[in-house]
Amino acid sequence: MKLAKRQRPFGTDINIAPLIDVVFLLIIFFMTVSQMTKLDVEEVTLPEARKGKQPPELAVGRLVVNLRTDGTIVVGRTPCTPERLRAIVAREARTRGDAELTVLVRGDRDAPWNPAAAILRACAQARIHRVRVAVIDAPDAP
Amino acid sequence: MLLTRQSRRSSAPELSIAPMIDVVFLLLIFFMCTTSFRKLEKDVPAHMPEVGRGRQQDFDPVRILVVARDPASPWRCNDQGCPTVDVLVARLRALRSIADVPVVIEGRKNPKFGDMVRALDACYQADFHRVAFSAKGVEP
Repeated sequence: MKLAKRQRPFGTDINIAPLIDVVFLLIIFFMTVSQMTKLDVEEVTLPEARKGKQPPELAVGRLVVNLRTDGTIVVGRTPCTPERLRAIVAREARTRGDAELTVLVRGDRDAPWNPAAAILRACAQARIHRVRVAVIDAPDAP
Repeated sequence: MLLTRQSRRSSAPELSIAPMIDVVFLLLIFFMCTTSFRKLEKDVPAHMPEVGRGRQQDFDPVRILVVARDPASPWRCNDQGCPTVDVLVARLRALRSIADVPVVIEGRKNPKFGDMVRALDACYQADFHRVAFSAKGVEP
């Protein structure tokens, strides 16, 4: 049986539908990732340091505690009192295991010390020894 | 005057996707740029022993005081005023050359968190390994 060949029109057609698919996928990926990273991170001006170390990429077993300029403690976008923080830290230490839990304190450089000390004290009471303070590189850092 | 209609439109309406691709690429480049321009966050270890649980030391630790509202010497290292962090680092390096003793950082009159962290960083710069914040003087 002979099938009639369909004649192609002049010039080659580029199918751009998959390209648009991929580009949209990338946009949605970037939008989601940027939203997800902001879930437990407050906009604060971190203190500068020269000896800061790169944290591990995998943020599993990490509790982020933010400290705003006015001294408000924020965990997961919810402001909380030192007592409430103590309860959260104790609960996290129980569920995740205090050996695995790392607490990251993201404090504003102009925040008062007393609430920051309250965070550190809450960690000490929950027997969490892996406490880290978030910093950014000083301009003259090596 | 009767105008004859131009040739009829083809059956399927054509959608111009060129501007859409322009916008999509613009968005893509915008997101790629904003994600890469964020300053990279790092961290330093911080430790504050519970009151009464600190280990008994055989020798006196280096004591750094961070005093609020004292622009002349915000940091005091073993009761010697340090007007800048570089002076504090130099003092600590001199002490470190003798021994790797523990260092205790204490805040007075509720100083700024940033000044406390700079003192902590100064200790790490001077290569001290046992650095802790003191709970002394902190209002509960």
